Amino acid sequence: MSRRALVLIGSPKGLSGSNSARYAQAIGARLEEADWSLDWIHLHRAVSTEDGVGELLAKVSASELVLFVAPLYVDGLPAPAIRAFERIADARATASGTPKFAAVIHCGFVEPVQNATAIEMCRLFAAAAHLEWSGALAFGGGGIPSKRGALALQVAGEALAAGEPIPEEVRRRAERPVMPRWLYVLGGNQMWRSQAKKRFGVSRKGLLARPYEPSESR
Amino acid sequence: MCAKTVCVLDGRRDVGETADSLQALDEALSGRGWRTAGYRLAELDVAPCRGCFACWVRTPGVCIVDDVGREIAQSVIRSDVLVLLTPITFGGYSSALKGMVDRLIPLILPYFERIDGEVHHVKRYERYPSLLGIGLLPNPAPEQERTFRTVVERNGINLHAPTVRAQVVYDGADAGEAIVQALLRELR
Repeated sequence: MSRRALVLIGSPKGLSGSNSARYAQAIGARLEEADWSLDWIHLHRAVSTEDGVGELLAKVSASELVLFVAPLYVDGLPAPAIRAFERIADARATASGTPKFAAVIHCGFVEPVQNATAIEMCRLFAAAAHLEWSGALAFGGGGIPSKRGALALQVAGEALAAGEPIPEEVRRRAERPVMPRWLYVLGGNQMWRSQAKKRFGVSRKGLLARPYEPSESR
Repeated sequence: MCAKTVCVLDGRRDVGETADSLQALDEALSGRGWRTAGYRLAELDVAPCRGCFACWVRTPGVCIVDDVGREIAQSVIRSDVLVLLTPITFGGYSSALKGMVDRLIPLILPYFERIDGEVHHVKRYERYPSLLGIGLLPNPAPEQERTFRTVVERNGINLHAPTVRAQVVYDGADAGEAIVQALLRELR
């Protein structure tokens, strides 16, 4: 009988088309190669109904491994992911059995290390929910693919498939920025200007709008 | 002298306790000539951030979601001190508070710059409120407290707060008063 893993996607963009989904699919492929069966849950959708929460709690309990993948939002996890964690931790306050829990957090800054606080929150959640912490990966660069990142995902997937935690060394290697900071700033700023102009006709000046500027000085 | 404004984003679940301490806060501050804008987030229906970046490239500075989150974001940028009040949840904010904090990204620009050697987003406004994070815990929990202080400090960088402070208050009968005192220390 195959082993069961649950993939929790914490991006509002859903189970496909997001960087979270892409990272999860890369690890999921290694698990499936090792005969694991995967369930997928989109946390934003799950926490919006009690039925969704019920399904989430049941699948966490029925899984041997829970893989959580999410973008960094303002130095932490997206709110619906925290809501899901609150519900899981409440439900598992006296839980027996210890599914493993691993996390992948990615951000739009060039430094993957900016995800460190969010990863620590994941670890503290795992402890509160009686889940066995199985390590994490952090990616920066807004999803820019890299050979180093692809290798980290492969090794992490193989480790989790074997019932092992993600090796700390793999996380450390993946935490090197994908490009120099100056180049990322230059390219990123050009990308935002271009996106605003081409997709929405918003000019450089319009992009700098201050709609909530106080009318009187403070 | 212009009255100063404190914006309190209260992410606690217990509405009764929230009402009491916010009222005490309002009274303590109004006696010192300060104004309080308090939001009990557990009672408000703030939609989660969609991650669409419309607030950066389509409707600059305004979230595409038309709900109370827009009003709160405006209140935050017009305040002198932003208080984030929360039960410490896995070392961070409760989902109720984080839902609103996620909706604050219209207050910064999509552009990048380097701050202390790291890449962050550029200011949209000239002035930003100081940041005071107040975390509640039932008992001392060093790992949670350390993470909470770090996340408040990191938020201070990303939200361009001129000063940042994190305070941990242990739950109990005097929690409301402790919150008032923590804030008054910040405002001194």
